[in-house]
Amino acid sequence: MRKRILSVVFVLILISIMGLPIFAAEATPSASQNGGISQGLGYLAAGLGMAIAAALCGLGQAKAIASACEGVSRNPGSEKAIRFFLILGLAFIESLVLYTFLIVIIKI
Amino acid sequence: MEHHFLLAEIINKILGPIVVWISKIVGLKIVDEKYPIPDFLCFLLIIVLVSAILHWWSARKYSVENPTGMQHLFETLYEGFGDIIESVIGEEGKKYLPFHFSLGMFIFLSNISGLIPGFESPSSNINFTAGCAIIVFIYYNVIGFKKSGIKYLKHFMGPNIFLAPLMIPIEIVSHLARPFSLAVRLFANIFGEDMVILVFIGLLPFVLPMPLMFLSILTSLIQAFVFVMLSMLYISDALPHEEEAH
Repeated sequence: MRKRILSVVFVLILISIMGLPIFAAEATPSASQNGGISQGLGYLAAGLGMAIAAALCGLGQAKAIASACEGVSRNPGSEKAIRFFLILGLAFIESLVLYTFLIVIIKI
Repeated sequence: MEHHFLLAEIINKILGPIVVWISKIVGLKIVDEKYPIPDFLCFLLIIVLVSAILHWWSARKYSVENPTGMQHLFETLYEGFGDIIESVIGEEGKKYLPFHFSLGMFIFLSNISGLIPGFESPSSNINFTAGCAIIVFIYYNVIGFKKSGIKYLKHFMGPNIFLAPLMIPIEIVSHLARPFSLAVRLFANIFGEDMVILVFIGLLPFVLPMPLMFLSILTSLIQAFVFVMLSMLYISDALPHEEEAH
């Protein structure tokens, strides 16, 4: 009985996956529709800005993870607390690069 | 020509005429008479219903000896939140627990509903996240005023009264940056993740989005948790606390 319900649910999910084009968002006006050099410069700035943000985010998160690993290795009993701080800190650092990603996605 | 979600169209057919009638009475102007409720509001209604049903179901039969499955789950979550809030705010933290628990559940459900086919997450819209952030902002300021009266404004003046003209603009800007960063963090996470899944579906339909969707479940949970955690931190910052002896 349970297997039948699971298989029916699975088939329903497969059918709804077929309608995934519904996810398409509306087109937002981008920075310069006319083309030419201003649009090219816009793309260049987007790529460069995103690259800098991601690189520095990687550095910051690497430092956080390294400290977390060292903290756990020094004091294996505090693993839960350190895991909590690690995940929280990584989420904060990641949100900074997501601000840049937002500008790139919405404006270009 | 816009392509809307199936559930959103159903809700618009049912509740659309009521909204149009109310707007005619009040005097608002609706852009499209056939589709007055936007997508994310429809899914917000669905999530409110689902959340209410979950809470009601878990509390149908209270029992101390043999609790039901849902009651056990909710009790575990609630107690876990209670421990965290007590470690952040202090002994009187449990008073603020219902607000934070329901906010956390709400944001988590709305983040994760974007991954279900046919649904759209309300938190991929800046209006929803800005609303939650404004509520948190008003809540912690009201608590600050309630607990310390007019002395709450001493928080803005810094450690010394002579530094006040310098500290007040800095503190006001930093206080205004809090709901802004809350809103944009949640919005950018969920909207960006939806966009990346969309791009991956275009690249290689059923294979490539899979690992990203697994990661999205994790980040939905983490972002809801970070939102609630920050709200707890802001409240603990607004409460009066004695200075510890150095």
